[in-house]
Amino acid sequence: MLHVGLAHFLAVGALLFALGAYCVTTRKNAVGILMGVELILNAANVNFVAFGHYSWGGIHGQVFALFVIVLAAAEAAVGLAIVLTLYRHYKTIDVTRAERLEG
Amino acid sequence: MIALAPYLLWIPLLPLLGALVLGTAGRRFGRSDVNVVACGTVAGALVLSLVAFVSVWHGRTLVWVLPWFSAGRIQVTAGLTADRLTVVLLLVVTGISLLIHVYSTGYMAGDPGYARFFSFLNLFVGAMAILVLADNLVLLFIGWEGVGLCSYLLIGFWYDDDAKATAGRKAFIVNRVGDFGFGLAVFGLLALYGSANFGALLRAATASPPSALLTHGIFAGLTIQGALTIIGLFFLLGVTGKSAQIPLYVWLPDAMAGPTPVSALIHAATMVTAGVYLICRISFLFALAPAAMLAVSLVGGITALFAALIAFAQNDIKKVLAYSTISQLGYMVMATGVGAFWAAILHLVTHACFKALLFLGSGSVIHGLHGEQDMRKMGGLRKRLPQTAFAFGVATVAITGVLPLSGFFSKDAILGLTLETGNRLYPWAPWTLYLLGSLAALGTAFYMWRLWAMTFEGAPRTEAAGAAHEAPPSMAWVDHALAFLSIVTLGLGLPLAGGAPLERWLAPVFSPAVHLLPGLILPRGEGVPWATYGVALALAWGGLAVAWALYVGAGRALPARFAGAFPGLYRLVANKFYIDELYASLIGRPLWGGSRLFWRLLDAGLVDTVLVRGTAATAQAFSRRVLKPFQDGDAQRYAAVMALSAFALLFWVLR
Amino acid sequence: MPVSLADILALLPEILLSLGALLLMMTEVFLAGARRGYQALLAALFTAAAFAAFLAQRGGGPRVLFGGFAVSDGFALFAGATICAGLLVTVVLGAGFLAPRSAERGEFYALALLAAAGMCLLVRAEDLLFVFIALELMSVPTYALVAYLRTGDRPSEAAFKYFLLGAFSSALFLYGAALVFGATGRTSLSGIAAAGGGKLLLAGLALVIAGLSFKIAAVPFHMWAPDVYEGASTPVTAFMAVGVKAASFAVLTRILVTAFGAPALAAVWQPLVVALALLTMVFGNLLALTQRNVKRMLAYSSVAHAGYLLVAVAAASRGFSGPSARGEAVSSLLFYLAAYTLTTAGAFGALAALERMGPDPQPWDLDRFAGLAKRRPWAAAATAMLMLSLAGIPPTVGFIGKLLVFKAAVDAGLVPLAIAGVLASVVGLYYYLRVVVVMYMQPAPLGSVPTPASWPLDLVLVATATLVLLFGLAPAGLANAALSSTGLLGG
Repeated sequence: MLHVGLAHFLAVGALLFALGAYCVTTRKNAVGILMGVELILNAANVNFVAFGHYSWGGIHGQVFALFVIVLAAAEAAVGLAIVLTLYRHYKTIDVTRAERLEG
Repeated sequence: MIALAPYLLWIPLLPLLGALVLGTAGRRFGRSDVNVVACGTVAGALVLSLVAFVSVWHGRTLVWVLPWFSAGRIQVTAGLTADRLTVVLLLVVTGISLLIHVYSTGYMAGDPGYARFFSFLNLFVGAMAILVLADNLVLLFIGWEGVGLCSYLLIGFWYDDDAKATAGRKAFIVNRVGDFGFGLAVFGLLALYGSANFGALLRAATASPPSALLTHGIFAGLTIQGALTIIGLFFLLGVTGKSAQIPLYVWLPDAMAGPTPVSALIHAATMVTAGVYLICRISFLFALAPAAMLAVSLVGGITALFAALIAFAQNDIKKVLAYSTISQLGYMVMATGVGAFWAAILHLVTHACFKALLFLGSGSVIHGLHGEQDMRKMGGLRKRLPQTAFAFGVATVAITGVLPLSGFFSKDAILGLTLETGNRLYPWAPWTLYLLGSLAALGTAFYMWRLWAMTFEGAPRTEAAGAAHEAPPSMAWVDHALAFLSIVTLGLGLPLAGGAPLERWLAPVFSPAVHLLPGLILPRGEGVPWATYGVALALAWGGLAVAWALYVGAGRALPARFAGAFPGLYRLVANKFYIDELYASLIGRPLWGGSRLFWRLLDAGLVDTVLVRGTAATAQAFSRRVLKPFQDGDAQRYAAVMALSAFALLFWVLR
Repeated sequence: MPVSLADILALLPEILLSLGALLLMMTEVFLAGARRGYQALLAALFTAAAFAAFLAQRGGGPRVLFGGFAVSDGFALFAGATICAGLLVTVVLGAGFLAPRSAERGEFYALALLAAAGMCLLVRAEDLLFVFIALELMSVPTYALVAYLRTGDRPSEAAFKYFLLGAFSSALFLYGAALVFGATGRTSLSGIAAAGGGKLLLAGLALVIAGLSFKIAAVPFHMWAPDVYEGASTPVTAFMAVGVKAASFAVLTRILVTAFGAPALAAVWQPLVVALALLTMVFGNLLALTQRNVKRMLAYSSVAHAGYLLVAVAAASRGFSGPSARGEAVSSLLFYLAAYTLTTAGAFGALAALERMGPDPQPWDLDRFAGLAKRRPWAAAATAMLMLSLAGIPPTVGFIGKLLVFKAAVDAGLVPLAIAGVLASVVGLYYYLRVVVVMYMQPAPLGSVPTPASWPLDLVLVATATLVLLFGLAPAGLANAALSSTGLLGG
């Protein structure tokens, strides 16, 4: 019987992190990129909860994760609003089009 | 005896206030108001300098300390101090400045930027006074930067001309290279002795022997002497920038793009001598580092000869004087390098008078010819401009030393002392330096009399030269005042029993250095030997004779016979103008984009391209071609770079 | 966790800023008349009050707030006061810049005040959770501010880039914080220092540094900076360059020195910070060289200045310098932050004063500065003073800042780094002085329409230039204030 331990959670966290980073750097769709950011934040959350549970006990890790969830929601709201202004000016949310600021 | 002298503060403050008033409200002033403010403040500074001089005469050392800032262990007090060395410099700076202010009221009359010009000029006087009065290196550096900034602003004064703005930039960038050396040297001293104050440095330098091994700090493992050698070489880099020595001299000839009074004041008499002053001010540190001293003297000697050679080939009257200035500064630097500090200061003083006069005289000539600077288009001006010719003649005699005017004694004091004081560790040095200096003296006589001959002798070669007119009285008056000074300053260098007057005057200032010297550099005799005076006089007359023969007398036919005897050389030595071409192609042209590889490498190549255009252009090209493509506006690429960098950091800490 | 009234009073500046923000939002609901000049005044009043509150709190020793989540120490107070000063300049800039473009709204000031409240909390943070919350409180309003001026497509593109990369960097920081928590079981900085840890802690450290390097725009985490700085409206750019950077530097220093101050850990991060400083100074200056667009030039200049500040951070590593040397390094950082805040805010003020109205492909070209000396001698003199200070030429405060930072580096044994810094600032001179040359030595291009003068912008210019000169001539007060503000809790 497989015993799920800290290492497994950390692996999931790392995987989420990598997937999130991959998503952020490759997706062309702005909303997709926002999702990638959420993945990375949640990767950290998984780590917090896992460390809190397995390594140190107590609720410290969980509390941290809760705060992160709240802040991520606020961040996502502002992010979507910004994507909206982007759409208003470019009529698309393909981020490769928004490359006029350079040099 | 140390005396508090709050009025020292007003010596820089008066001109600075003048600059402030002229800079902000000057445009609303009439010309006479500007004259009153500009000349009045400088005259005030001169009067205060005289007061300080009298006070120092009575055996006082003046100080005035302003607590500038102290934070923790860093304490920088903006102290002003005036000792015997300072007052000499102060009198030169404020005195020559006042004369040149007066001259400028005539020369710049009618210029739309009249008030702006004087505000820069006043700013310069204030900054120079700070430089001279500073009792620590940080404050000195502020003055050093300030005069550099003014030089930069005044070279590019007529900013409608692109070449002039470029010259200003060149001066600025080259000087930054020098300042970089200066900055590092100050850091080094702070690390070594924990202070930048001259008094504290002197105490520290005399407290421990130069062979003491340093155990901690950045110089750990070196002796004090080794550390001071490094520091001294960095100071030397700073000096080569400010005082236009090899390899950083290239900015000075271009700096002649500025108005002529600026050339006279900043680029001949005062600012460019700041490097010499600096070495003298910290002479006791250089005295502990014989290798640095040797480097200083060699740089000075080689510059003196090299610049004199280049001056042979110049046809622009101000360019000749510019190279002449570099050459004379070389003498001063060489003198400091052999421990003849007082001789360096003596030459500084006499040179300030006669070189300012030469520049102002050339200004009168240029003024009289409506802006013509090419000597080939002059000639015969002695009859057209008798007043100017007289003053210019006095200065030429002074600089070449054909008669014992001021320059004769100061230059020959240096030459004699190169021989008399020797760097014990480098026995070949005295003769080498003497040879360099003597050849340069021969060269000086040649190019100066060539200048004289081409400008004032013979017949006018153009109509403009034939119709030249004398300068307005304010300018002529200043010429005569400087001519007078060029004669009377000879009194400072008279080789009396017991030393020249200036030598005795400055002896207390340099006694610590001389006291520290004996182990390393040995003064072998007393005073200046008479034999060298004879040699020097012969060289001066030799140079004069050659120049006269080739440019005025029968020698004009000489090159033709040369051509017959050496047909292979014909193309090089066809006539006297062709001699110029020869020099130009060997020495001069590289400066203006010539083809000779060696010289190009040395001058236009190395310094001009690598340092001047190099720092800017190479960096720009690198930036444009290599760095910018990364910055292509793709946010996701930025994210990828960030992610990779974060992984790099991870890898670093986990390796 | 006992919360006393004293704890809440200690947060008075942040409370004032938040109250001001709320009030300003309310004005948009109830008092949205045509004339909005009072909003700037209101925002300025609250900012000044917060500034005064920071000053009033000085003098007491370090105090722990909220059971160890935050502190009130000299370091935080100095950094907070610096941030408020930057905010004050931003508010005045906003008034002078937005009004002629008919874009003055209460939200602008409200967002700025909120972000500033986040910054002030950030510099007090003593716990990674608190750091993260304050970081977000700072960042989220800033994302919105960047998108504020909704004319043209520049702001929206800039806002998106800033948001995307900012969120990414926050996530990096958070992941690092999770690893640090995993290694030590603590999130409070002093707790981390007490616990210590192995490889896991080091990995967390690296990611925390990476996340914060983004906020301070250190190379190679700087690439967003020029684009975002250019795209945001000029007062916002000034705010980001000044406030975000100051707050992030403060928290970076606090984390490194308090949580990772042990010699073994300092031995790991000091070379890292040295490398970042080196890269940032060199590339920041090189990239600024080619810019004719003054706004981008200033953006790269702010990158370069992050490099000089990193030199001070590296010098502050406790592992290598004694306590007094470390105190001087931290104080040099604080002094440099204050100097940089004044100068940079003023420089962006100059840019705002000259920026072309209406749509224009090149509103910030160097040409805008040409002939300024003739047209407006006072503005030109002030701008020249600010440029000299950015370049680090005496007698400006920028020179003193560089002097102190490089001195601290030399004292900490980082001589090569100090030399590289001096060299890099030599390169920097070129582009700063180019602005001065253009102002004084080039006539205005034919047919150019000068931007009309606006008194708030002139006020910013003259005030900052005067202070820059004043603190350059008499830096003792500021330097000593910085020196007495280096007491870090647990440091």
